[in-house]
Amino acid sequence: MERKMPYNVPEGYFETLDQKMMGAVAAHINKKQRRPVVRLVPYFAFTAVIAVMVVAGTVFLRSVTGQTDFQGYDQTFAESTLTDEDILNYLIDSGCSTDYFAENL
Amino acid sequence: MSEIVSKYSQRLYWVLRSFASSHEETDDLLQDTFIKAWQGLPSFREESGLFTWVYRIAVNVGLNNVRKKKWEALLTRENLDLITERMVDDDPMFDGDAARRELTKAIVTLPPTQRAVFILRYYQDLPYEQISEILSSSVGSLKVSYHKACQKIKERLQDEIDLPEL
Repeated sequence: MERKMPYNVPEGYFETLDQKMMGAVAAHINKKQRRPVVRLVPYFAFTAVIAVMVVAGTVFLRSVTGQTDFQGYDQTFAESTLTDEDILNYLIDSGCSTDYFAENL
Repeated sequence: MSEIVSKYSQRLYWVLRSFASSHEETDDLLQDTFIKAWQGLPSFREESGLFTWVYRIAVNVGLNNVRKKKWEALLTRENLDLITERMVDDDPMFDGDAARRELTKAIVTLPPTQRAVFILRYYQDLPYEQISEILSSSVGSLKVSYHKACQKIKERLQDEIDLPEL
């Protein structure tokens, strides 16, 4: 059996590939060159939202239950702006093993 | 940067194709690879060699893609092996006979590291010394990984395919 990947590519794909890749890199560079303050706004906003939610959530839970444990945590979490993508990237970057997770699920 | 793109784009496409489930996904991973290469250029040190360095970035992008899917499947309690095998069956760009289809399905269900070693050795025909630099692993452990990958593939294909020796 010949050792070749058994896939085709769309017609003319490789003829324009270099140009397309350079375009993607150039688009990324342009995005990075936006004013630093403007670039940081989403991060500030994200941090502020998380901080407000943590504080508000803690105050709310304590006032409702009068306890310090986090009953209602699931609801708070469901309302957060964290996406599944954010969580997955965090788990992958932190090197957490799927096997470990599966065993402790 | 354009020199790196023109020199390696096609080879890296085929490396990443092995870690992706479609042509479109491969294209996205290739873009990620070159963006990461551009970001890492200032810290690139000549001693590792441009080829090894670019390949290392691509393989890491590919492996992260596989791990990400594994996590997604775990969180949604889906069977990733079944999903990936179905994607091989449904891939309109697949161009091979039944044996190649089975081989591809066997490869996509290997654990990520074994999959990477097998791809670099079998399809890319790289020597262990080079794979060792790309994956930052010893030649000995790579040989073990390749051997295990071959065993799993052979078991699945019931010796329909001749895999090269270590």
